[in-house]
Amino acid sequence: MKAVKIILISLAVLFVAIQFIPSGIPENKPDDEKSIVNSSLVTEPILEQLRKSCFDCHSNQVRFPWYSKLAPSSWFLADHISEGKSNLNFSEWEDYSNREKIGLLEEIKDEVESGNMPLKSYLLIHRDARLNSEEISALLTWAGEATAQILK
Amino acid sequence: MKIMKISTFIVILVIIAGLFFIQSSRVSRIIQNSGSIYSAEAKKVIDEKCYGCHSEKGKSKDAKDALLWDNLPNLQKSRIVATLDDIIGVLKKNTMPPEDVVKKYPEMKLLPQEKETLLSWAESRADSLMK
Repeated sequence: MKAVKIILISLAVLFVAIQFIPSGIPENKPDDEKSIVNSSLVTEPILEQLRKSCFDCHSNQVRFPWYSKLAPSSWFLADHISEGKSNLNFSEWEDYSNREKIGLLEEIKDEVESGNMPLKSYLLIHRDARLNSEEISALLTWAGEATAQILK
Repeated sequence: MKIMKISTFIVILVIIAGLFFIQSSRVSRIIQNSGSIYSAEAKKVIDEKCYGCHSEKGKSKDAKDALLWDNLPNLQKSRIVATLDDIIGVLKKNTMPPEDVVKKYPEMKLLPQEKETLLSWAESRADSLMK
């Protein structure tokens, strides 16, 4: 019984202690003219979909969940967001060259069509980010049209 | 009469030869066009350092799924640009050929000059497709 108590107290102390380790979650920044929000490539419904299903890992406009303040979940979140943003950051869309934009749009098509994105682990908690077949096809059409527009 | 026969024969010969010439120059143009995606310098590096894994004969399914050099010219324009963009990214990050392959076959490592050749080829091809 005493051993259990010691273990529980140690765990509690450890839990409190790790809260002081910085999580490294990137901070949100206000969207500026570089954001896809201001691009002629997107319509409002597509933007809404991107906000709901993609922006949490691929923009500077993350809706932080309550557990983002608690370690160790904050560490995993920090990793997810940093990796997501390094691959694609919709808030910095205009920093990409046309070639990179086409590459990203083709990747979006592949990832969405194959069901790899949004990530399953993310969808477990963010049920509103799930894409139904109509939303998938709207995103695929948009990505195709946006690519054609860039190639014009 | 004989002169007429000979001149008709010559005219027919000239027409046939002309047709052959037109046909063959069309064929060579097609070959040139389909092969024109690769510069000679880039092709040499690709053949020596990349083709082994990124061709139908390659053993790694991942490598073949990621890129098949033989299929690249047949892809849609946007796909070609996206693939070239991937190639540029991989070259800049120095992730190809993979570390384990280079460890096993050190001669497969891309030399700085070869990397530059591939980079400038991929960038100029992508640019020309987007014009």
